[in-house]
This record gives sequence, structure tokens and C-alpha cells, in this order.
Amino acid sequence: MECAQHTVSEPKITLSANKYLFNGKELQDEQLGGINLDWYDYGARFYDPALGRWHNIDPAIENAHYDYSPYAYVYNNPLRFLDPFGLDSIDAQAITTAAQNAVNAVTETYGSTSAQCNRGVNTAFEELTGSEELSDLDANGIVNQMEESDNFETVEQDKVQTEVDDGALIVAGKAESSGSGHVALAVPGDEVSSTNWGGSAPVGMDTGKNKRWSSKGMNYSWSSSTGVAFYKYTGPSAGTINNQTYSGGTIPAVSVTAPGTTYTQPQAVTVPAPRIDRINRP
Amino acid sequence: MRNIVIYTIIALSLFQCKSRNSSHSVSTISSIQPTNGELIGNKLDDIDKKQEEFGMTLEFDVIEKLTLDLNGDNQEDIIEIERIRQWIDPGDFHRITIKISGKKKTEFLNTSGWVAVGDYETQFVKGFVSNTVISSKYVSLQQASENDMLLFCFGYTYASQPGLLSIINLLKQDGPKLIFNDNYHLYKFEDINNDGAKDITVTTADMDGPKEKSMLSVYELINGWFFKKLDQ
Repeated sequence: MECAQHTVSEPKITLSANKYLFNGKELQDEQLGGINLDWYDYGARFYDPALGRWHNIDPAIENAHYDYSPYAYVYNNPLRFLDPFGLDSIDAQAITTAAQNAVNAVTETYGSTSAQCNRGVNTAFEELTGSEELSDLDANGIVNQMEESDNFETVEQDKVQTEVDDGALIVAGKAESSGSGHVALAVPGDEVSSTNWGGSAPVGMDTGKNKRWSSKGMNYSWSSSTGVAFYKYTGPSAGTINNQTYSGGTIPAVSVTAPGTTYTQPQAVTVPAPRIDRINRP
Repeated sequence: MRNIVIYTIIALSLFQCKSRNSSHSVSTISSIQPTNGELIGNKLDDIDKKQEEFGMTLEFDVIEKLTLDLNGDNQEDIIEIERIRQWIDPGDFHRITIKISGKKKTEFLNTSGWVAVGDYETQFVKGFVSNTVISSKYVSLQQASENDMLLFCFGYTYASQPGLLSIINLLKQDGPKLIFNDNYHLYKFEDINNDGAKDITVTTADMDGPKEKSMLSVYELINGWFFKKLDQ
């Protein structure tokens, strides 16, 4: 689909001025109605560094922020999150939400006790990435796929919780030669103490046999960490904006509104296939 | 002469094949008839090895004490259910200590944890909990035959496997013995071969039940030990 590019206004760029400052975003320092804006253009919306606020609502607010204002920048926590496009971040909150959604979906469809770890992980994975890479695979298949895929890399256990808290998507898995293997999604939270895991264990979502939880120590998923590997997703991510799924490419029909002036013409936003690890700590 | 040698080799080969086939068919006729049994599944934890692995001394709190006369000698026998003190990993209890009069005290340790007997653990065997010889929150004591008193313990469910099904025969001549310890759901507990001893059928299937016969395994209780029934 061909979309007309919309420019808010022609920026007056001087050769000496570097206008790409905070987070590498362009400073809009032209005057509007006689007032210096000094806003940063994030594509989908404008960020006012003086207020620490967006000037318009997050177009992806439907992805549910619960306790946060849709005008807030990265949940008021710029040390943790980054919102590179002014759209909804794939971050700790998104992972937490996807994990809860997956538990609900699996419980509703399969009840509360049967072994459905693969379905829970895949449901959350699809919600966060838009990728069907793990679809229709059992737990052993998911582990094998993550082992072989270029979209995953292994992470040491002691790095898992920090990375997930920073918005990385990490799936824990252990294949079994006899019987079924097991997978769980690492989720944000505090590591738990565990003697069986050698001191501490990351927290995870698990929809395995007799398990339906969105966050609990992984010492409740495996009796020990022996053989459990952690796979960080590094492939293209996706989300929804105005109910449309994106995974890179151009998003049409995003209206941008600023105080005093409404830009009714849809503004196309080009999303360059964001990777989750790019949306981590600034 | 050369033909004789060739015919002899062929004849010997055929005889060998026949022998192999007949020995194979013998082994599948029925259960192995046991003389001495052995544990089915895996050993439980060794406390010294675990303490070394954890780098700490394990201490236990008794959370339930069952007192009864197991061997009919009018003496108290005691089963203690114990939990590792200040334990932060799964499991409602981790050690069972059994003191039967006239026998040496025996301990069984599982740091991965057993759980209280509940509906999930006994989902396939109706009335299993209520049929227990003595009321307990954590274990189920079942009279399997005149000479066999079995203590059933159910492990915490890790990964996508059933929890451990641990069965201790309390009335072995040389003291309580762990006779079964593997990741299965108990599916049936009844006398299948009509020898007066209750046998077990186990499965890894979920609550909706095994979809095919191959998902069930039968173990017959013979001379106080379990033996896998091969022609099930």
C-alpha cells in the first residue's frame, strides 16, 4: 500500500546544528504559533523533554498500560525503557501482559492441569513478536527450533532476569530424549532464592502439567537448572497499532495531534523491523 | 566335500535363528516370575551427597506423626513426615522416617519434594484417599496383601512430567523398602492377576485419561516387589 508521507512542518535545519539529540530523535525547534516547540519527533507522536510527557496519546494504548498514563514516556522510567517510535514499547510490561494473556487463553481452552507448556509459550511469543516460528511445535520441537534458528541466541542463567526486566524476550527450555520436554517464558520480576537451583532462579510463566501461572520462580518449573537453556529472541518483533499488526514496514493512518493544532492528515510511520534488544536500556 | 561344508553352515545358521526366535517368544509370554525383586525407577536422594551439593546441613521439622501397629506385634510403629527447615523450593515434605519395632530406623529423602495427597495426585483412582489405613494429610497407607503394607507418596509435578510416584513397602523382612519411584500417575490399584496382592497400573497421560493402551503400564506385586507385566 502506497502511503503519502506527511511532514508536520518543514524543519529549518542549519548546517551547524545537530538536531538529532535525545535518543537520536530529531528536535523540532521551529516556531509554531509564535512559540518555540523544542519537541522531539518520534514519528508517531511528539515528546516534550521539558514536561517528560508526550503531547498526544500513545496510538498503541489499546495494548493496555493499566496503571500508566498514555501520555507518560516509557512508564515514567527512562532508565529502563525506550520508546523508539513513540509507539507502544515491547518491554517488561508487554511481556507481563502477554504472559497473563497466555495463561488465561490456555486455561480457558485446555483447563488447568494438562501439559500445555508449548501452547502457553507460543501464545505469548506470537503476541509479542507476531512470529509463528514456534507454532505447532511441541516442547522438544520448540527447543530444537530455538537451538537452530538465527532469531535466537542463548543467554547465561545469571543474565536472564536482568535482560527480561529490560524487555528482552527469553524462553527457557529443556528437551527430553524420552517423554516430553518443557518450555517456559521468562517474565519480569525478582529472582527467587532456590537451593535446588544453586542459589537463585529467574521467574517465569508456565502452562505445563498442573501449572498455570504467569509469574513464579523457575524452581517450580524444573527441579534444578541442569539442562535448562535460555534462548533470547533477537528476530523481528511486532505489535499492534490502531488494531493493525506491524512487524516492520510502514504503518498507515496514524493521526498526530498537538495542542492548538490538529494534523488531520494521516501520517505514515516507517517502522524498521524493531528488535527487542534494541528497545532495551537507552 | 565343499557342498557338505556349505550345507552344514546353512543348517547351523537356521538352527541359531530358530533358537533366538523361541527364546524371544518365551520372554513375552507373561510376567517375569521373580525370585528377588528390585526398585522400579530411580533411587531417592542420599543426604550426604545432597548436603555436599548444597553446601549446607539439612535440618528437618516433623510436620506429621503417624502412630500405629504395622506388624501386629502390639508395639507402636511410627511414621514421621518431615519438611526441610526453612526450605524455599517446592514440596510439602521431603523426608519420611519410619521406625518399626524390631527393625532399624529407615529414612527416605526427596529434596525435589513430595506434596500432600490431593485430588490431582489421585485423579484416576476414586476412593484412594479415603481407603487409607490411617488418616494423613500427606501420604496414603494401603494394605496391598496380607504381607504387604504400601506407603504411597506423590512428588511435586516438575516440567511436563507427572510427579514422582514413590511407593514404600513397610513390611519387608529386613525393614521398609522403596519398591517403586518413577514419574507416573497412579491409574489403578487393584489385584489384576488374582494372586491376592493389589497391583498398580500407571500412566503419564493427563487427566482426560490415556488415549491408548500403550500409555498404560502394569506392575504386578509379587513377593513384596513390583514386576512389569510384559504381555499387557
